[in-house]
Amino acid sequence: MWTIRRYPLLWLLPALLPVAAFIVYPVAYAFWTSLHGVMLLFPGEPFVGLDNYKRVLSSGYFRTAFLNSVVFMALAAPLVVILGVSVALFLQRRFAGSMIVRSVVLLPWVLPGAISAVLWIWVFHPSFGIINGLLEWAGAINAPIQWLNTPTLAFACVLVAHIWTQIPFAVVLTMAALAAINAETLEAATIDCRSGWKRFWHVIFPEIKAMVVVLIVYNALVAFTTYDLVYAMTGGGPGTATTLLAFQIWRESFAMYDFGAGSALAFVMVAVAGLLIVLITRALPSDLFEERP
Amino acid sequence: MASVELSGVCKNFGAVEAVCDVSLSIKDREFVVFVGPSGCGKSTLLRMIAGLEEITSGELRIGGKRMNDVPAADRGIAMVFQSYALYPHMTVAENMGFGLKMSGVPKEEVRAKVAQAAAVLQIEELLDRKPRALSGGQRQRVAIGRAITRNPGVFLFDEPLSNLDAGLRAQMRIEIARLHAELDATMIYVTHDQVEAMTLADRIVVMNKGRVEQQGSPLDLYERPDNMFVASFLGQPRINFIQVRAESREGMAVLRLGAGDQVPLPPALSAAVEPGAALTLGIRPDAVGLSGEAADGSVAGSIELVEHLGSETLIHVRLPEMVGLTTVTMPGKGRVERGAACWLTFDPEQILLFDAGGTRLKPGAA
Repeated sequence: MWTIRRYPLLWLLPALLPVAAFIVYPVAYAFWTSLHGVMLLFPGEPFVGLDNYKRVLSSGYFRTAFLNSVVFMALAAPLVVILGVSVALFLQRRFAGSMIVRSVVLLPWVLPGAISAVLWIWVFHPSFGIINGLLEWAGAINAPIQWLNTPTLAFACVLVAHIWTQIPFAVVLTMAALAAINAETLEAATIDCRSGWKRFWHVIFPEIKAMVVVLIVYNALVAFTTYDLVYAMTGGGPGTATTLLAFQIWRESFAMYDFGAGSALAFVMVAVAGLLIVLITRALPSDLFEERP
Repeated sequence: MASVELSGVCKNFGAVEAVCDVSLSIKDREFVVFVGPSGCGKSTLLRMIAGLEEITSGELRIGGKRMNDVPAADRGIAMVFQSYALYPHMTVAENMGFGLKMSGVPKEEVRAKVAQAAAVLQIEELLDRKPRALSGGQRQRVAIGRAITRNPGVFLFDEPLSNLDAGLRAQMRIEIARLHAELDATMIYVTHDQVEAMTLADRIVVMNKGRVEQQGSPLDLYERPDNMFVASFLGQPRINFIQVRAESREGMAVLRLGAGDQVPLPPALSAAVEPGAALTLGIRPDAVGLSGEAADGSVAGSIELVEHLGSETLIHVRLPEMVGLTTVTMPGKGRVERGAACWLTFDPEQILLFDAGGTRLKPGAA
């Protein structure tokens, strides 16, 4: 019957057309841009081949941004997952006000990145920030610490803010995985094993391992492509201390107006991210997502 | 092996009293079954013994030692759960040896103990499999094996056969009875299935609304229940309850049914009855005789429903002016017709009488 074969395609069109308009077209246009000399200050858009890619890859900016991104990802992804799992385990307990605490923990999730950035700017503010305030009150420092104006500290500050924004998602997914564990299995573990840590390691962790791996992959990608906090908190500075790869794309395109180089950098980043996904997936044990009884 | 003592044990969940003032003394090597309807507190009581639930008040002693604040892992108990509760990512052997491994027992010894338990349960060929590759019955065997490997002082079973089908349940019931004889261990078993309770227990503890209604040997509870709740909970098919009024005839008490039929009482029970009292007569279906002719002390009725079970026949009889049906069991494949008139006789020695509050009248205690 021709209707059964053709109808699905027709019905999918309303969904596929926006996808084509908002994803396929921009990506294709960006790819075209990366192969052309598109600079706002110069007339014409000549074809330059892989010139943009060569320029971007050989620049000092790229190496710094790439290294920053890798370090950022290597620290953020595991920390988000470790903290997220810890918070989820804690929130599983029932205590007075546990429902309120659960809601509060999820709060960073609903805040847009720019708002989170403003919040953290105030937390780290040298004169009015709560951290300096507390340290001064405790007598730990005499002069205010310039959190966002000291290169290594600024990097750590952005990292802290990023982890804060990403923890809720990790908590929700981990709690879902924990809820799927048979309660009696956990009780059997309580009888078999005195130490809470051993129980976690031998009984709970194997049950949530698949979710933890998904979270690590997801957070590695989010950290590698993060942009909004850097833009709003430090503008990539001081110097290039917090310039991450995604921020460098913005800088090439909208600060230097070199859209060709910006697009080329974007495709380099996608390639690196793609490579990361392949490497991580390859490294996973093959029975990880096996069906549970 | 160990004894278990509970004195005045209570458990509150907020304002709800789940278990109230339970005192029990379970002897070493005894098989005790907690039985009762859903929500009667039997599982909560077991979980308090296991250390999975805090004891609100009262004292728990295992092997003479106070255990209220001792972690579950240190109580010398092992528990078998309704859902088996096996560790899904471990093989059968790893599941069974996990408790010992966690308490630092050397690998060789763990392996030997696991092999020994597997032999007892005849599951040697399953040792390398994961739980998901096992059937329900096999999983429960592994769960029991895990308990045996721990070599506990007390085995705790929380409705272990509820997830199995009827055939497997009967088979595992025999298996557990055999294990008790073989291991010579103290076992506490929770179930809502009175057949399991009757067949397995040295002693049954009947619970209702968080309290112990009665405890005793299975036959003791079956023949001499303290009240209507215990009488109705044990026995399959259920005991018949018939509303009667006591009357005096020639110096002996008789029971008058709604339609005027009179049932004589044995002298001992007769002495306990006050003439004029409204009572409930309890009689097991197997203590009721059914006949096609009237006799002295028989009660007239009509057959309303017949269930042929093969080895026995259940006949449900409507007595005049009675709300429910009275059940009679007859051995074999008795041929009786629906709608036929019949006369019931009650074995006087097996008549139980309950007062208006549901408490059984004891013979000779007038």
